[in-house]
Amino acid sequence: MDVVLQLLLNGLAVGCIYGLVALGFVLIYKTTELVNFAQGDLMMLGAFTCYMFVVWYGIGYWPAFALAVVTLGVFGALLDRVILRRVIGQPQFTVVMLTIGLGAIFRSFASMTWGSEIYMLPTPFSAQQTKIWGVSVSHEYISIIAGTMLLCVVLYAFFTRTRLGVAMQATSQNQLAAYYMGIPVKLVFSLIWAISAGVATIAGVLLAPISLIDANLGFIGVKAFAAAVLGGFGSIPGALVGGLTIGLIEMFSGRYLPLGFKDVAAYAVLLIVLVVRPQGMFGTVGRKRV
Amino acid sequence: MRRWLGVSVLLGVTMVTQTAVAEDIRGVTQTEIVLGMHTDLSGPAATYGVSSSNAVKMRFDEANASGGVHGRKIKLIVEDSQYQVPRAVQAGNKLINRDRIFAMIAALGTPMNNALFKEQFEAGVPNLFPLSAARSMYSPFHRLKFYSAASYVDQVRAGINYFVTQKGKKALCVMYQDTDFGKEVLDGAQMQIDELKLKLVASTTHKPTDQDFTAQITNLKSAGCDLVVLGTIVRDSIVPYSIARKIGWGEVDFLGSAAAYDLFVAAAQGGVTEGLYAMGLTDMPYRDKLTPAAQGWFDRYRARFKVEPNIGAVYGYDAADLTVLGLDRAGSDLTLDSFVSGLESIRNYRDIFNGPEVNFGPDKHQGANSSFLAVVKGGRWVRLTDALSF
Amino acid sequence: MRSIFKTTYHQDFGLFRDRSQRDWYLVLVLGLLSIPFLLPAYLVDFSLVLIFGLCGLSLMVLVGYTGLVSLGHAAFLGIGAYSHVYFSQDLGVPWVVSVTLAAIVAAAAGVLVGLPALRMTGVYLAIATLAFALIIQEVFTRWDSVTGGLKGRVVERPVIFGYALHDDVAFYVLCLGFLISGLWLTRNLLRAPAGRALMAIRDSEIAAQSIGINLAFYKIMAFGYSAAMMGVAGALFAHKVGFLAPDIFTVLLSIQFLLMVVVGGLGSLHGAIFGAIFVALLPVAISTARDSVPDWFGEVFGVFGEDTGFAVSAAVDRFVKQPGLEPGIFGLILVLFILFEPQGIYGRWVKIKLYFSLFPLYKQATFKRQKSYMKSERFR
Repeated sequence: MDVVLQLLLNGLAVGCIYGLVALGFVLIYKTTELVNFAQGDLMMLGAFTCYMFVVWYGIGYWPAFALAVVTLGVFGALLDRVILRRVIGQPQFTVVMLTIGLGAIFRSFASMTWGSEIYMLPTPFSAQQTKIWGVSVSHEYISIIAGTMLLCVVLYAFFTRTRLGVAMQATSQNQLAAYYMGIPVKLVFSLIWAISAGVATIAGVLLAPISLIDANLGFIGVKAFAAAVLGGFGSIPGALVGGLTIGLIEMFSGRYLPLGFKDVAAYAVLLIVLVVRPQGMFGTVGRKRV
Repeated sequence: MRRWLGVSVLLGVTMVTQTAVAEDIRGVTQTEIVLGMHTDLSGPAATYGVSSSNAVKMRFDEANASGGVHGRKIKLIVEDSQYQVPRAVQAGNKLINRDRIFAMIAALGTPMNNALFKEQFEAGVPNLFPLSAARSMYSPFHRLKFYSAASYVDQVRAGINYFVTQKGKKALCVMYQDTDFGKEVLDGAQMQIDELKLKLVASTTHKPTDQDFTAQITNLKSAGCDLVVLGTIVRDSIVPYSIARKIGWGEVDFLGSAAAYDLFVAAAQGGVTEGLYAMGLTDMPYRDKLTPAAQGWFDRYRARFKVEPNIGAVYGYDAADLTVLGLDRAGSDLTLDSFVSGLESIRNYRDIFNGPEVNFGPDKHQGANSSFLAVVKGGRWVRLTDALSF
Repeated sequence: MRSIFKTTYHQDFGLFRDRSQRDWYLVLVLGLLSIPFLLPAYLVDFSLVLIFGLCGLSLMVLVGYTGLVSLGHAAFLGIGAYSHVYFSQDLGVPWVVSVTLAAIVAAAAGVLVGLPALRMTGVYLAIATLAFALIIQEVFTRWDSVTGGLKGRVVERPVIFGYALHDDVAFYVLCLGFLISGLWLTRNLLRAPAGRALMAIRDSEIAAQSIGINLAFYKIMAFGYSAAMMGVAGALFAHKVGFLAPDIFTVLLSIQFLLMVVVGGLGSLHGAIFGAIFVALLPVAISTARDSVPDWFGEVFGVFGEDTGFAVSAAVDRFVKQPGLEPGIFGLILVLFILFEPQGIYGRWVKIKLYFSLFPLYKQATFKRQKSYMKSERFR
């Protein structure tokens, strides 16, 4: 029983990280129909930026966290404004390749600026544990789960209660109608990118104490992408559910299945779900009337 | 009209064939020896690749500054393989065919080295002291393979033997990278476990680029291990160990191979690697613990490269030092045969880092095979034992 | 400026537009055959260009002509490579038969992927192929008896009809032969009704269905054909690299192939070849430039005095020797191409040719995209 609880807790924590990065994917896809393969690398940049603020400039953890989120948010908005604005109208696949290229540039930039070593982010809750129901849980894992839940509540409130959030929902449903209603669609796009980059930063900073920061941190993005697709690309709760699912599957298959199946199990489940339900768990199917 | 002109022009160009220039000895002229190195400068093992290539460069520059070896200066060409086999093959091709190197030195990565052996040895390019401790670096015996230290299998067997006989460990597990380096560690562990008539309780794998190891550690903990042998490099040594301590698993010991015996692993922030064991081959370059000669080297390295050297630099320096010694012993008439004989004549060599004594011979191309146990204490590696055997 | 005067149907769907074009391609082939003599030092790199050309062709048929994005094509390359090595070295099957079998095995895998892919579109398909590729990579690692697992396998030189191909020139000519055959085969596929059906599927699935094209059949055929060609390329790749290990066929390799087709020019066979040249030769160019660019900079700035020249040379040297630069350069070139030349290298080539053939009447607006809107891909 102990083991199962331990696996459950760790799986939830890891799944939350996947869910957060997947959330970033889905936010952008829902509004602009672009798939941003650079999401994992934005997460890596966010973690590095926070590290830079905390260790190089000596700012405290929480102000550095907030500052990193804001910085990456501005960076994401600039990305949209300068680069992605130009490729409107091109086929989706080409834009996906563009984001892959951007991801490679971010990785290269990170390894040139911060070197190829591994860095540790000092947090106020490092290396402390508490015992819950007989299972020893590290504070870092708790912080991930708590942070994710808090972020989801905030985002939910933002999207449903504020004017801007409702405007974003409107833009994602029908761009032309949004233009007619006077919503500044281009500004909304930039803001969505900013929020997405901010979410990626939060994921990166939460993950950093566990996984340590280095230039290849962005490869988690691949699993998170699978999580987003599993949950249905275009559904925000789906992204989280997908992330948690993949996290739990990894954890449990690592324990109970033979060697080497850990990586494969998550993808096998993904394939099965996609075959049975091609639009993911919570995705919506669009049909065109001919 | 135009098309016939084009055809005849191209046919004419085809006629002017370049005759292959017959080279006397590849990579050797009256004034220069060309050596090549393919290593990981920007991938997962970059900490080793960058520092080792720096140290090799520095040693060769010092040799050149004092007039070279028998009047020949050493030119080193370094290529980045990014720890990927196709790139390493491409880089190796460039070095062997275009740069026409005399020998390959300190190449990094087990599969990278393995992939290039065929082409290298067909072209008669020796493989000197690669940064990989797989058995294939010296065995099966080949005239052009030279290796100077214990293999991963030797190290792991010695370590397991110590823990079982001296510390009474019984439940042995292995956590290894899903690569052939990791597999070497697994093989070595399995060999020693069989020898000691024990059983391998559990093992887990992971990809070298994996970021999270919670699943593996949880798995091992629930299997009830008391010694976990790590077939991991830097990052995947630190993170699993810290996770294990974080989830309150205090009674287990983790033993890494020499691949985990790295400055960064010990100095991990927050003391997360305190109590981690690893097998070492030479001193760790902590300036206060080095011999005076090594301290001088430390200062020169720091002055030139603006960072402190790590264990990769030590290996690189040893590789370059042994190469220069071999070149020297080959005499001024430098050919492949005289170089191989020169290397094989090296006896009782001791490096400046308290490494084991190195001996080569006409059928002995593994210079030494002993290793010692070290532990992380206070953010540094501390040597615990003398050379261990199995 | 020439005007093409067609008098027969054959001229419309023939392989070449006219005799002049055919002769120029012949000259190109002669030129390629003379490369072993002109640039012997770079021969192995050119062999890789040819193999990547085959890979690009395969991916171009799937992505450029059928519109199905596959993020896991390196898996088919691996399947082809491992099958070929297994058949020819372990089972002793003759080389030609072994390559054919490898192609068949890869095609079977392609059909296997294509069947569930019928129901998926766009990003879901991409992720499904990615998942497939990762599973296949795991299979390579675990299936020790056939693939040699993590230790890898050494690949011997090809022995065709009893002749052992010892040297690089023979291998290069072999690859060239395969590429030309692949080009011819693909070109024939594309100018047949099947090819037009594929392009119809790319442009609009609903419209294709309404004129009677069997979507399922053609999509599976596209997957199978593409995978078969990758299988053949895999067999050649195995010989080229000489040593097979599971961590060669990663997602990064698949992404490199995608980069190849995008930078080369999506939607044309020339694009596949240009892309292959780009992807295979750029690392070579970078590593050559890395040695000579700092000195060049030093000389240029040496005009301002020896000290500045030396300082500039040292700074550029430090920058260029930095690890992690190469993926950055790849990414940067990809981004620049997509932003400024979305039709790829081949698109630029067409524009240049048109400029010269229309000179001086070329209008810059000829290829300019009108200001366009975002077309939703959710309803295709």
